Amino acid sequence: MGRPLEEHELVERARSGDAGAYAALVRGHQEIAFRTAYLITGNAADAEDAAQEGFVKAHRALHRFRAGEPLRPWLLTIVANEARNRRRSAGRRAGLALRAAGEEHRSGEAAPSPETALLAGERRAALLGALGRLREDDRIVIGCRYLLELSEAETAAALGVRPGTVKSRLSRGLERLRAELGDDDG
Amino acid sequence: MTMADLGAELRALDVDWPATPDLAAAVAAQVEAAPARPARRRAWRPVLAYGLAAAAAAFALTMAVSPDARSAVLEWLGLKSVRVERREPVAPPPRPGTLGAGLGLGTPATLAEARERSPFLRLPAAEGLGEPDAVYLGRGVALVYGARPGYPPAAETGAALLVQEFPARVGPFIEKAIGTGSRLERLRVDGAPAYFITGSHGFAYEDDEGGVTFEDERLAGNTLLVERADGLLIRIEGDLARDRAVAVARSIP
Repeated sequence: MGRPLEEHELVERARSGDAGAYAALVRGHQEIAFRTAYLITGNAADAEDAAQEGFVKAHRALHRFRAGEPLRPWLLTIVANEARNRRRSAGRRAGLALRAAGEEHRSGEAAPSPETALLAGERRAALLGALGRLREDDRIVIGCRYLLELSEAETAAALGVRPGTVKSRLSRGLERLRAELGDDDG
Repeated sequence: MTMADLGAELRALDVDWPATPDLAAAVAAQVEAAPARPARRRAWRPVLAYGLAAAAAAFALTMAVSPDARSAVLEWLGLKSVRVERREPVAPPPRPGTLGAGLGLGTPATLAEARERSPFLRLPAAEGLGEPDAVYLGRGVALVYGARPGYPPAAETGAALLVQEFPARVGPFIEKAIGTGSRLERLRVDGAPAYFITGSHGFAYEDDEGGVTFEDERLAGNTLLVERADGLLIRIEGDLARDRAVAVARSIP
């Protein structure tokens, strides 16, 4: 023993009823699942519900998961679907409110990373503000690709679209983001 | 600024995400209450889809189930969006609560929201039915009717009538488990192919994209499925005789 189990081993164990193995899979993916759901719902409580319900449904559907494929896009498909259902039922909300870390002074936290320090606070706030005002589709594709740094396949899973459409949606979204920011020098 | 710069700038944002809750415990509690279903064979699809869809005709096809046929996929009868498995259904009974809640129909909505989001929605105009008492949006639209004259409540759903409408698809997304207590009859409703299933049977359906079961399998009562030429798949469930269910289906414009 000693060696941590690989994901496919955990999946196999979870399939045969090992609750501990499934809990390990949940822990490994809950952050990305929750944040993806948050991008869609714009609300932490709904995102938590969606992620939790998504993991429960994924467990019931594990027998349909094709062994050997990556688990994350598959999980994100299910969680994002839950998130969209919640968003739909809640009706249209105002845009997403995201903040950059370091905008507020928070004691007890490490100093901002060098990357963060590169960006002026105002610019960060403007960027996130503009992103939050974009329409849902643009916001989610940009959020998945750039904020969560999901792959194209994972982004497609989260959006519920074919992988081939992610690129075009992304470039359209960035165009609109640039327009929203008022950047007209590029 | 170029798009690449904008992308790089977005990547460098250190977003202050809300704290991720620890979901493992809550998920484990729910998962233990409803363990994963065993794997099933799925390689049957293309072969049976063509072979049996071509073998049309045959009215009132009664399924006699032998014990060793459990969990085997045996029939594919021509409704492109529906798959029928011959095995005992495995679902738990519905939870009590609001009309239609706990049936995995989706999220509750008003009729106006349903009309807005699902342009394919058509309300049945059968006499005495009136407007649905609850509406859910999920995979398609679900209209739930409480008991009213001529429509007694059904044991499986607690509702008198459940009408679901889906945009039909080429591949199956509804799965039916027909066990020993049920019978499947093939018929036509205004020319459209249909099934009428009597007796409790399992029912589950898949999502648009991934072939994942988003709904729990559950026990369903008498059910009429009609796949119309206009692309609408209608599912009517209730403690209803065939002709009454057909009348409801025909009243959908």
